Amino acid sequence: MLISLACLVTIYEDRGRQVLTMSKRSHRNQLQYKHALPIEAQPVPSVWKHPFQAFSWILDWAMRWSETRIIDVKINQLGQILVCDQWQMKYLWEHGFFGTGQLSRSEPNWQARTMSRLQLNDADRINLEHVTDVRRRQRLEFKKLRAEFEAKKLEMRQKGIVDEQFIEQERLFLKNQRDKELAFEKDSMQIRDEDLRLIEGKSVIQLESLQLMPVEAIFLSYAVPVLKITLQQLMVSLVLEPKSFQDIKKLIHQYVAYHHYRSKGWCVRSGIKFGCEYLLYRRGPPFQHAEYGIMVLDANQSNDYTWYSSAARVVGGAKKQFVLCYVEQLIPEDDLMELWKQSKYDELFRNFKIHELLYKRWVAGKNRD
Amino acid sequence: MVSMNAALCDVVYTNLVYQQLWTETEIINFEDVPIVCGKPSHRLTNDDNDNDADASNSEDIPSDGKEYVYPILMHQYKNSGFSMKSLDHIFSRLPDMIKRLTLGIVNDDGTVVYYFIYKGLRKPKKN
Repeated sequence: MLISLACLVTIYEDRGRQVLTMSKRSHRNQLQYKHALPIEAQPVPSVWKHPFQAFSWILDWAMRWSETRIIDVKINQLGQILVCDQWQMKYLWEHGFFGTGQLSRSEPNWQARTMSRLQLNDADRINLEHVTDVRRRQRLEFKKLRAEFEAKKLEMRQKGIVDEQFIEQERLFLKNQRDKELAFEKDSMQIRDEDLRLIEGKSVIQLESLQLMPVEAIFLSYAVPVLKITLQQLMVSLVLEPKSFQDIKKLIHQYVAYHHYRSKGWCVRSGIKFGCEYLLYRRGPPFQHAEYGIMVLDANQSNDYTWYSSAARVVGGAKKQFVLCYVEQLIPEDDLMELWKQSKYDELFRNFKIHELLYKRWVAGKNRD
Repeated sequence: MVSMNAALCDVVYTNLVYQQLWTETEIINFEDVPIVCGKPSHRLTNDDNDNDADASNSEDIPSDGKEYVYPILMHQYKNSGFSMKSLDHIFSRLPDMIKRLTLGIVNDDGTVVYYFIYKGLRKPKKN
């Protein structure tokens, strides 16, 4: 704990030493996020050294006593798939980064964040959400000042005044503002009336649940079965009485692509912020930024050129590679629909094939190597 | 449909009050248009007084600093059914002084995102 606190504080104090502190943090991450999926492999006990444990392990395996479906899910009237138990929320996040905290950016840390905001816990860990929030406000203030300077400059120009001193003054002032932006300050606490409702003794009541994307829920019920809901129950709640294949097509295409990347070892998260289907992380959000933005398309689909270029610019603007993921159907739609109706999901998913293309913007002056 | 709207408003309300830390937040029904109305914890944009030269829309937000949020539900695998027509309908139900509406988009990945929608033309935002 001491190490982690020290490391977080130094990151904001000294950006020059960032590389060093980052490596400490990544070591901590590697311990905390050891498992890439919600399965923990257990070594088979040695028959000679621990005969009893070995025997009970074999019995357990043969009788299928250890239940893998351990996560309770609730589907509310908006169709949101929620995990509400504290331990289960943490478990899914730490084992492959599944789901998003409904009141957080991604990791469900609202309760801890709120407790530190209301200064109810001793450790005042600086959380990243708060840092972003303060930075955004500072930037807004900076832009406002810059606009004021520009308005004044315009006025002077219209009157025909050229004041070198003023321009220099402006430059210095804005630079100071910029530097201030980089130094992080913790601002003072305010308790709102709304917060009083939350406080219970020395703690804050938990308002947050972990929400799973439909494709995540399918994966956790089908590929790595840890959810207590069956695949069939889940599918019915996602698409109520589909009339034609068109009603389930998008969901299935998206799932096939999701499954493809998860099974290749990527950590797959929603790409909605960047106008694509998924973001691929090598290990997960705490380790590094996502490297790829995935757009899922029907293999027969062809869009206007501007569609590709605008989608690619948004993803490229966030320094990610843009991948077109084409999903091909191997059998006719009616047959796929029939498989869905009979709940033969295994066979249904098997009748798709993935083709990928990396789309890259090429600039003659810059890409010479 | 009505209870679904109420549930949707609740999601946006909770998000605004406990993630974005808004105050004086309440759900108001302008006839058939439910709006979550409240005060942000800090100013959302510098552009509010940007159009001073153009007197017709110099005041985008009412002087009490309240924002009007219209909640909508979005699934990545379904169409939302949201259109220019429905936007027009929402503006027609709101008081005339409100020139800016905020869409509170509840996504199926557990996030709520907010987008400004202006009535009529706007000078582009400065970066």
